[in-house]
Amino acid sequence: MTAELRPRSDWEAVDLGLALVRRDFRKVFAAWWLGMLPMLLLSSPLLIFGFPGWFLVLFWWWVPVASRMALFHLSRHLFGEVPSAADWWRELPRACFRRFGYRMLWARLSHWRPLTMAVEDLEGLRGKAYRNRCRVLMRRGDSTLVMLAMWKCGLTLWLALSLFCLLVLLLSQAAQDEWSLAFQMFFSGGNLVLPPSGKAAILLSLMLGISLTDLFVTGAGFGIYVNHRTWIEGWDVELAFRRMATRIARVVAALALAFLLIPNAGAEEGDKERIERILKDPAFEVHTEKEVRWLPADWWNFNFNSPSAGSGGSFGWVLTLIQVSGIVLLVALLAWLIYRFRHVFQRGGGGGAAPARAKARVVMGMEVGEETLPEDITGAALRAWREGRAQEALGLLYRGAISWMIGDGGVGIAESDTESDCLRRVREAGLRQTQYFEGLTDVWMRLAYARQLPGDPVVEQLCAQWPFRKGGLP
Amino acid sequence: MSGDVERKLDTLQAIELAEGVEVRLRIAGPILRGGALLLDVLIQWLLIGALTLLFALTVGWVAGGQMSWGVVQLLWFFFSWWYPVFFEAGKWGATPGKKVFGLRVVQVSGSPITFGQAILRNFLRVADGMPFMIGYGVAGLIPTFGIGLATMLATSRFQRLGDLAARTVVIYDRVPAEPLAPSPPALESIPPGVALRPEEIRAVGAFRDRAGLWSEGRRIEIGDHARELTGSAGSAGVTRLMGIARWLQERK
Repeated sequence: MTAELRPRSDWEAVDLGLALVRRDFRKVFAAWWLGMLPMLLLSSPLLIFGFPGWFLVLFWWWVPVASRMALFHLSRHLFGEVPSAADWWRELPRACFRRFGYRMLWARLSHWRPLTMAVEDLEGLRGKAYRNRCRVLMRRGDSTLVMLAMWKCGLTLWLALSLFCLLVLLLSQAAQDEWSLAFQMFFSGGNLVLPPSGKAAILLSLMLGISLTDLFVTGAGFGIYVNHRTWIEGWDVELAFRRMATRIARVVAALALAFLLIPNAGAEEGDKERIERILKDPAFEVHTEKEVRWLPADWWNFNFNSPSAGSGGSFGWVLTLIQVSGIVLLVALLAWLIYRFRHVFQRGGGGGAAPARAKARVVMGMEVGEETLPEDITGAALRAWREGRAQEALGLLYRGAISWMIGDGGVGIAESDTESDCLRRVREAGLRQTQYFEGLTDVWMRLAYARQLPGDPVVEQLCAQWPFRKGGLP
Repeated sequence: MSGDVERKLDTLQAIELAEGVEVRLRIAGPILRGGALLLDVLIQWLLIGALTLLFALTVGWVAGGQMSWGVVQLLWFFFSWWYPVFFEAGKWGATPGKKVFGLRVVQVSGSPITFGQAILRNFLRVADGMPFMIGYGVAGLIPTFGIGLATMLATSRFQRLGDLAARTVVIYDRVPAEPLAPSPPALESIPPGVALRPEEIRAVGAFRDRAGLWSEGRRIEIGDHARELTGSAGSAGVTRLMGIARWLQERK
């Protein structure tokens, strides 16, 4: 068995057949044309004397013989032996004359041919036995076969057309013009008078179309045959049981050997060999990597303690001096750089996380982006307050304060912070405006959560004392 | 070690996932896909025809012939290029035609295809559609799909050029249930004398499930191959095999 047998759906069986043909396409194709050879030889006079139509009819009629040759190769290969050219020649006469009357005359148009041909060719059944067998095989239904036959009809012509178009593509410009003129005449109501090359192209593409389609449909039919037998005879189960039987027999034999106390070196050695074989696989190869790296200590030792440095005579100490002074200079430069740019480290160390974080844009569901606030916050707030929109007025003030804290004040307020979190953070930042912010937060929270309106003076005072100006810390 | 043995031909495509889990894709062949293509073309034509009529009666009436001709050409473009892309990149993973035939487009790894892959594999239809039939009059260029068919038959996973480029395959998404015909249940459950391997357990299960499809003689014939396991031949062996199958099923 060179293909996986398992119960498949009908279309998967067809696909298996197609895959079988693909696996050794060249050989199957050659076998098919070998089957066609007798008819080609016989009917070539028709072609010579100018009856390509009749030639084509005979060609088509002879197709089952060629299918038989393809089936012969496919089936032998499936069961593990690849037939040689000599086997093909031996099979050829049988393929021509086996049940000639039935296959080539009576059942020539049968759409079951892809399946039933396997019964008569591979099982060699005749008469009643053949009919019974076909009926049994067809128990799983023949809808796929009918579909296959329809596809075969359509696809043969379509493929021929495709091949013809391909040939047209490859034509020279002159010939193309000649052909298209002939077709234009034909389509405008005249007779189709093709140049000889055109006739040959049509004939060739039809022959190729017939051969390719029949080849693959034969394979598909064989796939269905194998699948039907797998279903109704349990081929896959039989094969699995056979494998199981051999395995169990081996196990039993090994056990018997062990019981007989024969030194089981054979088995053990087998295992050992197997382990060695597996370990030899490239995947288990041990790769070693050697890395050479100059460590500073080595470098020091090499330069200052090596005999060559010491044996440098009177210049040895000069060299050492240069090296040491170089190192001192380097260290000094580094120290100066650190000192010169100390603010970088200070800033980074002081407010570590805060500047790195994205600035909050929405706090407690309020927009605090600078662009969402008016230019003159206190003025807008006072106006709103006088017009009776207390919530909006104080909200403006509070948002303005928070916005300033985030932007200019550099307080790390997060989007998830509550009022008291903000207050705590402002206190931690130790800004000048802390006291004002405490008062504002108190007034805001009383209004927002307890609906306690502050008095006019309170609000006016808050606006008058507004300590948040643009442009950094005051 | 399986490299030593020649790989058996199969229509399933096994894909090994992490932790030894194996997924098997049922790769679909050219014939059903051809059917799906025909159906899709039919649907596209019907849609275009209906919409053309609609536009001719509305836009054409108001804005004149040229305008509606432009709209129709836009429609034609949209349906022939984007119809398969949207359906295949969508939840179905299949055009309506494929859906009807129970097919689905997936990546080679078995996961759903991405939008980019859908675009790639469908825009390459032009390449698969070659050689074109040079038509006369209204027909214009008609793709014959010769190249696509040839590539499908030549690749082991039935991929056309678009599939190869986008690394996709078409699989059977819905496989019709097969008739199981179990024989009468075993009366006693018998533990097997030897520890069985997974594939052997599966084979015993398959014997139980499908024995009803086989004739009595064939059942015994197959059962005899498992004589090493059952220890008896003939119908007694078959009975013992059924008992073992029952034991295996109960243990699960």
